[in-house]
Amino acid sequence: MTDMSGAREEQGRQAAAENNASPIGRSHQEKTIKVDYLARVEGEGAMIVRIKNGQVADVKLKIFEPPRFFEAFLRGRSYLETPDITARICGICPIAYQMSAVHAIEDALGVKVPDSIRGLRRLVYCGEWIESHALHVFMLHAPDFLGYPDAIRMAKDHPKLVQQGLELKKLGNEIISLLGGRAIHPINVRVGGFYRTPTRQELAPLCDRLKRGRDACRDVVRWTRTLPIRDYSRDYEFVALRHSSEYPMNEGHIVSNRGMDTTAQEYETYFEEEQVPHSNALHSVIKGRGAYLTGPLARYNLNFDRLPASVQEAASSVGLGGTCLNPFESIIVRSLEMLYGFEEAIRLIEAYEPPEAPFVACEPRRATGYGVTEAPRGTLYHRYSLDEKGIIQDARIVPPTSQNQKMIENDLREYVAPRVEMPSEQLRAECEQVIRNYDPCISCATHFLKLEVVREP
Amino acid sequence: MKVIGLGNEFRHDDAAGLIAARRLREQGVAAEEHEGDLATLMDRWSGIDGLILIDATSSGAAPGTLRSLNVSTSPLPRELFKSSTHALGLADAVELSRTLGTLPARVFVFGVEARDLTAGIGLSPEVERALPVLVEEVLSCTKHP
Amino acid sequence: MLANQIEIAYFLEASSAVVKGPYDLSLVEGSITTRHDAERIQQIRALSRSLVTIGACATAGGIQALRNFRDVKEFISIVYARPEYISTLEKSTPIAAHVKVDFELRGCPINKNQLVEVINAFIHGRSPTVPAHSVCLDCKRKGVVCVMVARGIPCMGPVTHTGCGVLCPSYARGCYGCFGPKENPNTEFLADWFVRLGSTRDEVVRLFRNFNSDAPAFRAESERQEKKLR
Repeated sequence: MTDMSGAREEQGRQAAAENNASPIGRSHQEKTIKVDYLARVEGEGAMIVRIKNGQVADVKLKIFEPPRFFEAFLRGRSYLETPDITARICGICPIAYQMSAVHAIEDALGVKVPDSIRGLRRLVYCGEWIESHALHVFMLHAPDFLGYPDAIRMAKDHPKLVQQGLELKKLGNEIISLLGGRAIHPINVRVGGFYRTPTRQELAPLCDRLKRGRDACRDVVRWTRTLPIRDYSRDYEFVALRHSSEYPMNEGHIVSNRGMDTTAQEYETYFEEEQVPHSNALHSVIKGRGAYLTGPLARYNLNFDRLPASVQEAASSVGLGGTCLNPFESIIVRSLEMLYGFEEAIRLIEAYEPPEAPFVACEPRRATGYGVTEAPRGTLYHRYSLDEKGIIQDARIVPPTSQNQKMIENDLREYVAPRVEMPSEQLRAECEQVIRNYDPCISCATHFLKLEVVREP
Repeated sequence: MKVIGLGNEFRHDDAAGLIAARRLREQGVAAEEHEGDLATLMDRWSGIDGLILIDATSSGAAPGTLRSLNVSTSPLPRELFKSSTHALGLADAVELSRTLGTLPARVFVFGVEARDLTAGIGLSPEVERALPVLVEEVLSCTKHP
Repeated sequence: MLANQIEIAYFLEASSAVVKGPYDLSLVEGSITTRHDAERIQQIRALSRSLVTIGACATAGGIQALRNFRDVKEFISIVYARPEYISTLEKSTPIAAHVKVDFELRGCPINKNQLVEVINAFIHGRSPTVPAHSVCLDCKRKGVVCVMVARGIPCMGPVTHTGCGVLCPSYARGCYGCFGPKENPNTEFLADWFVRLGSTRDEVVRLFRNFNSDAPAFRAESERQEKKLR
């Protein structure tokens, strides 16, 4: 691992450099400080923090657009096309969309896949967890902790760190390429299984590389503990899948730490999207309760006992028990999930027996099906209604980032409250860090983020 | 010279780079396409000498504005390209690659300013009009780098 | 008119006629499967100013798929007077592996206009202008069995521009047109072929109405097929 000793000092220096924004006096002047990375473009996202009389008046966050376009596009298409179409919703987590899609369709058609195919699906999901978490931990989150505005500047001082991240990400992509055909827009995932399943010989060389990745990952977990992580915690309602024996990916009940225990079929009974006034954002809430959090922190808290001993030990070796309520510590949790991804992938490859047929034959019928799987960023819900020929009549997709949006907003409100006097530039930068704790999915999210801190007298 | 068009098929003008690549293929250039994740993009230009990247820009200029930049030795301005603080934008990918020493010796970036980046399929008229000129510019760059 | 400008000499497949020559332009279809062929192609090459191979699909590549038709007795007896040759077809090699080929007219099926262009070009001593090729050629190169010929799976490969590395056919599924149409795609023929393979018209519509946003050729065909639905 690269040398971390300069990190804290550098962070201080960087913060000081960013503080050259104009001072905010207690005058009656109205001051609007904008971050104009980009001009106004339709499809942009925004965060607006409104400070009035030294108090947080409002925080509005719109970083996510529901995939209405795809829901509409899916209508009239065949059930067999769902993996190909939904893969295009997210460039970073296509497997998650394909997994939720095939499980929902199979739910509608009453199809059950054999264990060998279940295993391959977990394996390809391991690949996606690894590559998504590697990208976030190294490229997006680490710069925050090391005091750099972005990965490029961090790479100048810590090239080995960045290279390590890229190599771990590459290993994740390799799993997806092998099982999915390619890492971007995978082509091999099918309703009922796969178009073609690998042989043991094809998986073996990958296994050796994954073992090296796993060992590197153990170092990564230790390294995350050396980062200057803020002490902060919130009392979240976590929502995740829970399975009778596995750390959850494709199957299980939907549970929360406040007593929820339901199934994908009942999702819309418990969760709804509410229109936010004065905004075109849609907030996902638990009916009668409000905001909730899904993702690695939620999975970890609700399923720690399902992690293999090796991963639990790695967690305790860096001082993490079964409960983690600090969103800044999510970088440690993601590293632990990466480690789990490697361990689980190796286990699955070593146990793999090719199935009789690459996919289970399916007969279309008029039905509605539901699926929830654990994308790297959290629970991803799909619902499809089919006619007797298997043509999609209606589709509903609720991505994890959409579900977290209200929680992120709440977090920001609470974070900003004691920091209203902070110079706007620094406040903006710290708000971004808070948002980054949640690893919002960029592809599903609107592409452009404009962050404003608006101060009124 | 390797030519890669970047973008997202499903965000209107964001498909411009992909479509430019297709039109270049029709003219015999072996142009490739890349959607999504830019960390894997960097793998696609390892070991080559000359690179042309095509993408939609979002900089406040009039939609359809064409830009060509030689970024072989000067940095690619982040403000031009899609880059939220939460993602690796094209500028990030190029500059990161430069920092890690994996950027090809000659790199040119061609951009067309987007008007509409909301979800949906199809180019806006300004971008559609600008594309043939963009394709011509890239073509002559491949012939006289 | 092209027909007036050229004199065509025919060679029947089973013929063992002595090859006369020299020829300005030889058009050769198929692949080399026997030693006899291998000798003949050398003779043809020596006697031809230019040699052009035509039709990669039905010949060099589709041959591998014919292994699966071994049980189709009727097929074999019609096409092959000597059924035992079926096994030798596994060792078929493209013509370009034996002799220098001046031009390959690819296509599955080949485009008649392109054939005219090739002949025209050689008559006038210039290189033919034939635009980029389809997925089919790269399937042949990679040795991937044609999913349409071997399994009856509808595949957009014949009308789709190559470039993905023949991904889907190597995973035993039909191409769904990611790279957009190749130039002058013969979509109407392909659409009818899909129907003959057993696709319904609305399945054909969906195959052509994919999410390739810059594909007027595909969209036009999907609309044409949609009209046939009514």
